[in-house]
Amino acid sequence: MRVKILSRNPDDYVRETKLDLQRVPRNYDPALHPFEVPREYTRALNATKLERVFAKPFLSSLDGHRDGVNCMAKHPKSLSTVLSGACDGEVKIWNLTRRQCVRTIQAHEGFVRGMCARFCGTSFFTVGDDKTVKQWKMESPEYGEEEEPIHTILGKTVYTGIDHHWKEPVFATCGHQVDIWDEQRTSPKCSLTWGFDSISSVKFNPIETYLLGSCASDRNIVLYDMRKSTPLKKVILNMRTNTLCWNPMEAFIFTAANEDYNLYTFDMRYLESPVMVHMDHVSAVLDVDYSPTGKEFVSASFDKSIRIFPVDKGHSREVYHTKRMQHVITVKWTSDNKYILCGSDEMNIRLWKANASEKLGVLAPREKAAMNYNQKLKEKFQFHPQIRRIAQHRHLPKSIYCQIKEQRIMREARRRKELNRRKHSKPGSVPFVSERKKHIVAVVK
Amino acid sequence: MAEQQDQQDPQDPVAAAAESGSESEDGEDGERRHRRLLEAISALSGRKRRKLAERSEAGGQVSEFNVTCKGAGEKLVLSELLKPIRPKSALSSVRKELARVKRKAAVELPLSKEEAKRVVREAAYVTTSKDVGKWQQVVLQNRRSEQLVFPLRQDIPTVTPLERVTSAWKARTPLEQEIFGLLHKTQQPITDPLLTPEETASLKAMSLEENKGKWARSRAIMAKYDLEARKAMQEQLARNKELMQKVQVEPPEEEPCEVPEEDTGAVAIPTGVSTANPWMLGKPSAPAPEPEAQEGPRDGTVPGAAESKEEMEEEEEEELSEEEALLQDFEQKRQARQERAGSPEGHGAGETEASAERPGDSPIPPFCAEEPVSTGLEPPPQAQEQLLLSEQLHRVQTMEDVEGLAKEEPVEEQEKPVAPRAGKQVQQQKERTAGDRHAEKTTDKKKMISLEAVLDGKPQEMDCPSLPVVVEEEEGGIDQRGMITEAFAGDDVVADFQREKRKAEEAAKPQPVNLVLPGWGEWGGTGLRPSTKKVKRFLLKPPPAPPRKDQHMPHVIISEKRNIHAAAHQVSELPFPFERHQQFEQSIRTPVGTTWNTQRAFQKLTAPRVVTRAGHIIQPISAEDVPDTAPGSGASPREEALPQRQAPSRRRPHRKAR
Repeated sequence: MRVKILSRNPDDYVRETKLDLQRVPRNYDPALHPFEVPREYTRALNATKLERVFAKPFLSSLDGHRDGVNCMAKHPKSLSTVLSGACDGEVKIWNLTRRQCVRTIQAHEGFVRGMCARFCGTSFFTVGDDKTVKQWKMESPEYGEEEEPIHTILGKTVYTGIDHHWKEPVFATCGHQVDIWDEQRTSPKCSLTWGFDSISSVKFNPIETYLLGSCASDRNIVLYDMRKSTPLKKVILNMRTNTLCWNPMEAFIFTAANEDYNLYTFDMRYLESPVMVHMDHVSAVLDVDYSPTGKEFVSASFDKSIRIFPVDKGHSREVYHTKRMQHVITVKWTSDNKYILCGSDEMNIRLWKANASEKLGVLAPREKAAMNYNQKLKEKFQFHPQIRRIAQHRHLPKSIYCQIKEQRIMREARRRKELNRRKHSKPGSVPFVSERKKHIVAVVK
Repeated sequence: MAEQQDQQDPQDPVAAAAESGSESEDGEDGERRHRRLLEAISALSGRKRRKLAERSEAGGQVSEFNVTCKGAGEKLVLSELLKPIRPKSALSSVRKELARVKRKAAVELPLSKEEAKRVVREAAYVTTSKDVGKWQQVVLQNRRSEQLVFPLRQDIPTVTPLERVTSAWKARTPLEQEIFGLLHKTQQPITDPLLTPEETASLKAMSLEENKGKWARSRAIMAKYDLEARKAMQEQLARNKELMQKVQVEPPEEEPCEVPEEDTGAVAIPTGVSTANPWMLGKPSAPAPEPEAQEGPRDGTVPGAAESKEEMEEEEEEELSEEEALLQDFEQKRQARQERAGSPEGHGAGETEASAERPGDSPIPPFCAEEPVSTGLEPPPQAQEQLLLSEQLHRVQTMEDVEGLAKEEPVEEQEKPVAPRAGKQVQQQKERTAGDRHAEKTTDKKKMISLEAVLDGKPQEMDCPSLPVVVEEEEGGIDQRGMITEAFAGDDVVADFQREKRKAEEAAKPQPVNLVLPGWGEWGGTGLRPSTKKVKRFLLKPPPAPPRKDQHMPHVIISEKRNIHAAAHQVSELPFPFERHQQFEQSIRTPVGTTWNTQRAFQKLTAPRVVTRAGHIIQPISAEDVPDTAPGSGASPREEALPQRQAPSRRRPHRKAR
């Protein structure tokens, strides 16, 4: 009698060690796995729904300031440290892992207007309404030691902002003019002026470190070159720019936060029109900070919300707000691209996740694979109406919601008026002006 | 007038002559005339003027401003004779200068301070923007890249060869020292695990360059006199070279599956093992056949120089001590180790290959072709006006809420003002894509049907792996069937379905078109019917419909009409980055999941665009991060593959686990 038996290769199913993954025999014959599109669609739909359900971006609030938070600075070497300056001249250093204030300094009389950490992370600078620039040690003083600045520079006018060079012991302040200081000297190395209005913010380019950008209250943005100690070019916009931020991955790109509710991304080589106009806020934009990957930026607005914009999109992908958060004055994106910090009027610093539905902590490889897969599915089916509807839904407080509506009506009315004017006037006399050109008044060489 | 002209005419040649003559002469003549004129005028006036005494003699001082007697008291110098006859007057240059100065306008004023600053600014701006422009390629590259890994500057874990690791390591404990002593005694490799001293010795012996082997030495001596010996030696040399090459080449070839760019599908098939019953040898995984394969060619040298090999073996046997068994044991272990060492080497080779290929690499990875979403279709920024968020007043917190959302009509679609041009385009698009929609619909239809398909009775049949279970199932099954028949005694599902299908068939049949107009060409009025002839003529019968697709499927109705329920899930217009509907459909059609893809393809397809590491500070990009685009050099194709290179290196650990 002949007996037929199955003969299988143990190599196919026996593991070499018990730590090896189990071999799962698979048959990829497409006939055995039909309906791939509907199945993936369902998965994508579920992933999108879960994303919305798990979207809980708010992590914690750091409270302790006794006045509105006016400025913040990231520690260049430590992710868990953040510095903040308040409107009463108080500077606090926070530990983010413990979510506690580790040090408090009464740095200035009046506002702390600006602060920045030195590139090595050993000290930081503050400027205040008392016309001083102070340099402080990052470590807290020893027992019995006085809390005193390392250096104090007394200036003639009020400084409104400060930024440190990314590689050299040089920093820049702004006020009536842009001053560039050597850390060792008490008088500025050079002063850059162009026009006579007060300058609200100055920022060093993180890549080409000799470049500076500043924005003044006479509605302009001025670029400077530190090597030649000369201004380069000036753009005048319709309204005042509050602050600007350079893209840390693209040397010539910077984004300006404007009073006219918009943000403008410029290429510094072509200042005639911005690369992108980012509109969604319903009140003046007060601060902007790039994500360290250079793909997105976060903006803080007077409308009590912060928004995250992709660099190449005209509208925001995310809006964060809470009931208690008032006008957001300053915002920072942490250097590990994971969190966002915002300081607001009501004395709190809030910690948010940069990706609202992200799971924090270490992910198992399978979790990671599943996350990637879901992300890919959402991306793949993003144009399908139901998925889009779910993915786009955001809750807004009534005030912002109504303002958005109102502004939409206003915009529509303006558009209609222009259309009518064009219709009833000589052809060509009312030119089409693109949204990007509309907000630029002039470029001054 | 004519007289004057006549007078002038003879003067002209004179004047011309005077001009052409020495200019000093001319000057003298003029002066004399002028003096005469003055005398004449003074004489006219009647009153006698006192005449100034004037010196008309040659003075001691010779000046060009005074009248001089030419050549008085001057010595003739030979060099003067050699000069041109009419030397240039000293004044001529002055005169020329004067004329030039007269002709010239006033010197421009220096630039105003503002202007000067502006010029400086403009120049500085030009140079600075040029400086900054060197990042252009890097920026474009990063924007286009499939995957960016941050922080950019990260120490890629390199696989250090075992030799280097072992060379740094030293025996400390007595046991280790003992083992090392043993290894030394038996001349086992300590630092280089791949070749024993014997092997190296034999290799050396085979190489003629070293002239160390006894046989080789003797042969070399013989070769001086004997042609045959020389030939044999050359043959041996060639063979040795061949062998050496193989030994060097083999390690990377051993494991083709380790090369990162290749698909894992092809697994190396052991060559030396007989295929009759390879796995029933007792061990779960047989020791890899590579050692045999390696030894094979080495043995292959024997027929070529059999005697010599034997001689060598004899030599080796002399060297072999009584600890032969131990040695063999070591040998086995070493071969196992070689195998294992092969994998990192394979990685290394793969890496170098990848880096070598980089410049030629096409910037688009292969899987891009399947997916128009991720290809370089950069959306023109103007079209980004669409809102990314639909902001509402209510919160969504539970799954139910979310599901409720999905059923809502998208609000922004209604609000969106459709530009007339866009509308037209959409229409055209619709006309063009009408045919292709069908395909999409059918897929969606399938999806709708799928639920019913799942509810079919098939799974019941499949859930019967072993006998006793089957019996139980049957018992339970009968009961269930009875219950079902009892519960649905009233309705006949099959008949219902057939009726439905018949109805659908009827509905799908093309209807004749009635174009009969009563009263034309004949009497009309109430109660009068058009003649049959007319009816026959004007009743247009459509051509018969093509056979139904579900003709031979009694349990299926295939309807190709637009289904509203499915439409809620369908994309109504071509989304932005796509230019043709085929692109979009293809992007949807390609499945991503592990159900349809191999593990590696799945990983490739789902690789995230931006990878960051928790707890790592991402520094701004700097020139060191892109070494090849150091200032001025512009774009280099090498760094196009930068993000791609990082991707496989990240994934390497997965591959090892097998």
